[in-house]
Amino acid sequence: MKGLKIVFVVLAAALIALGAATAYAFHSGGVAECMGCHNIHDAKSTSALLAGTDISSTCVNCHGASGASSYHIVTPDADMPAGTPPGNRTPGGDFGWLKKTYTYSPRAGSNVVDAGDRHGHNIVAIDFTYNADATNLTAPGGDMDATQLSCNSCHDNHGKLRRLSDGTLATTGAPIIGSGSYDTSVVPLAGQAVGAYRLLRGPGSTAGSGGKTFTAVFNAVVPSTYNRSEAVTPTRVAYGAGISDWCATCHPDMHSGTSSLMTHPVNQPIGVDVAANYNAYVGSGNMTGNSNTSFDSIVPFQMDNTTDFATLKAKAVNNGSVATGPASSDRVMCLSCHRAHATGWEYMTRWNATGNEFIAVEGVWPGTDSPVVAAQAAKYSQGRTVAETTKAYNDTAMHYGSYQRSLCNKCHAQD
Amino acid sequence: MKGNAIQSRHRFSVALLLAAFVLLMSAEYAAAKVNGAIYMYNLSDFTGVIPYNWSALSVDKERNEIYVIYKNEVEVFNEKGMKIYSFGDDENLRGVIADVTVGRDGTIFLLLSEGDIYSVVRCNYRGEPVAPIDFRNFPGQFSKFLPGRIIYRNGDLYLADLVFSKKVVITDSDGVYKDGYELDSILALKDIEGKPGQEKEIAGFSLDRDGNMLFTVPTIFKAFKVSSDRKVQMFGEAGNIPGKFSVVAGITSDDAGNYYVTDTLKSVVMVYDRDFNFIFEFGYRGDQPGNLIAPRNMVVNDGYLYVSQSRKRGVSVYRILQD
Repeated sequence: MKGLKIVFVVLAAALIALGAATAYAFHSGGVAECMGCHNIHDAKSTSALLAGTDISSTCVNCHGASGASSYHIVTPDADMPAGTPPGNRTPGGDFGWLKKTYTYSPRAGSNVVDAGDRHGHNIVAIDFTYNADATNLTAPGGDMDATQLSCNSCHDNHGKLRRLSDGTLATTGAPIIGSGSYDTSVVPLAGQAVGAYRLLRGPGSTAGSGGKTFTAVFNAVVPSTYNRSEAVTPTRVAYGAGISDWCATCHPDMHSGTSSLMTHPVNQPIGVDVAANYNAYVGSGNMTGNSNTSFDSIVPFQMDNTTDFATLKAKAVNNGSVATGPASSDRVMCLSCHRAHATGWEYMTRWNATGNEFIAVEGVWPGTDSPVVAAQAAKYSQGRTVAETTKAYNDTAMHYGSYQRSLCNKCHAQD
Repeated sequence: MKGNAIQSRHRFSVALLLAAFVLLMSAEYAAAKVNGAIYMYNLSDFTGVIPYNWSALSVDKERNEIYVIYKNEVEVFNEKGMKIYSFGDDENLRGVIADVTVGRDGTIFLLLSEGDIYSVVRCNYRGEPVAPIDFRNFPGQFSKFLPGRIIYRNGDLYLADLVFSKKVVITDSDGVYKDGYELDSILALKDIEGKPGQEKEIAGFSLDRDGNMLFTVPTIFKAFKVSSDRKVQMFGEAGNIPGKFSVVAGITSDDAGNYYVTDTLKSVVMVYDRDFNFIFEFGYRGDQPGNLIAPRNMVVNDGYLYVSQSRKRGVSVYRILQD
């Protein structure tokens, strides 16, 4: 036994002497290690030599966990039993909400089923039992087949799109030296490039699953720590030009600029009146706010039409240091009301936009287990626990009106 | 004199027994190299295989029982892989059941979390809460601590917060602080060159036969072994050929000192000897019973390896073959 201990000690010393591990930032703003996703000579069961059963399953292998680490966006089923929300709080939202179906009876004789697949983009990831949207067989406002929706419908898994030193976007021209997503990202020098925001597709990026070809650029920057509670300070993503046009690739009839339908305006300056509302709005019945402190990450906006990387980086904070509201030239975008992945609410809205008249009652977020009796009412709690409602708002404290109506009013102030 | 003779004989017998024990243990340590794994069955109840998705696992070696923690319930399986009991729906339990461990005397320790608060409740053999553990004497640096794992070992509780603070605290079974590990510094995670946005999260955690802590850190393709005196050994390198790490998750070890690491992307369990030499891997993505889909957590008990996985394929049980 003593000899064994000596062997262990010697072995330990030898291994310690090998030093620290090598760093591996997996995507690093561009194409990752090939073998991270592909199995070149030993792919057991897939085509395309993918290591996962399908594209999204391959992604979720890394991105599926409930801890608030930055890159986790899918909470495993085991970690979200009935009454427990998905655990991630990224700006895009947690795909776990797609598995949260709520049934409740807002009034006698009625039964509402709030189906999970209405909470977000239904990526197909067979290994993790994420199936095609059963409600929308094609993309709302478009014709893309729902069975084709995958992570790489929006993200370029090979990350070819890059921001060059002069600010232009291209799929070649200089090597990608790092991520271009964060406030801490390096500014590329001449002959260098950084990756496009979140490896999102853009002009020249080969269409992913679903076959749509993007023409717009999604300009944005996020704080480097973003999968976090917003209970104390919000996570402010700086959205720049192109957001809504980018979404319109798959949802053209949802976009006021490309649709013949009457749709909510997007990608237009919000104007003086809406900007004034946003900046003054604190909550239902309270219009005492001001433009220095009015930013609300539940209702974000697009910064004018900027493509300037430095400008965006300066506004992407998570410590509350930039809390300014919109100017009249800033714009409303799809992500003003929706999250990109999934949310706790129908139509993947950021707040409970389709519920009863109040999204909060007696000063608290509703929930079936609320200590405030009024907040337990089915028409308010809608089958959710307080924890689920709170997490659906990324832990944001209920700081609005004591009887708060829809946050459509942040811009429209009709309450 | 007679008494002395008896005492002397007694001492001699004890010495013989000790020598035999040491020889036996040495023989086991030296020879018990894993050379294969045979799929046996999946954990089931009387209706068939239970379709867990990435469940957590725990083992009660004293009673040969496997505990599955899934969606706020704890389900208990006998050595044949059949469900024999479940608990967790007691209305006195506040929070979500994160993990469970069982003491030598059969006391069940339930780790619960509710928001940013955690608690451990001591339960009786039926899983009925008896009393909460009163954790105390924690040093200041361990005050912000939200454990998601708990393991009982030799009268101590190991509480591991792998996600938020990356710390492990050891208490006695009454909750009195004994030791604490700050893994960021011990594993030198912060010294590893990183890039903006890169996380070095800890995925897997368990204890080996000697009480060393085992961890995996998938983003740097490493597994770590940390001894009680904070000596660190590590193994693993990136790649997807047999023995290399793609997206590693769970880690455990058997009584012979072999290590088992799951790789969710390769969908395999990789087996290493006690010197971290790769021996073989098994499972592989597929639809056959012995295949695995994104395996994650593991426990070893009495020559059997239990592996949780995704796609509602439940917990697969393999018999470990040894030399």
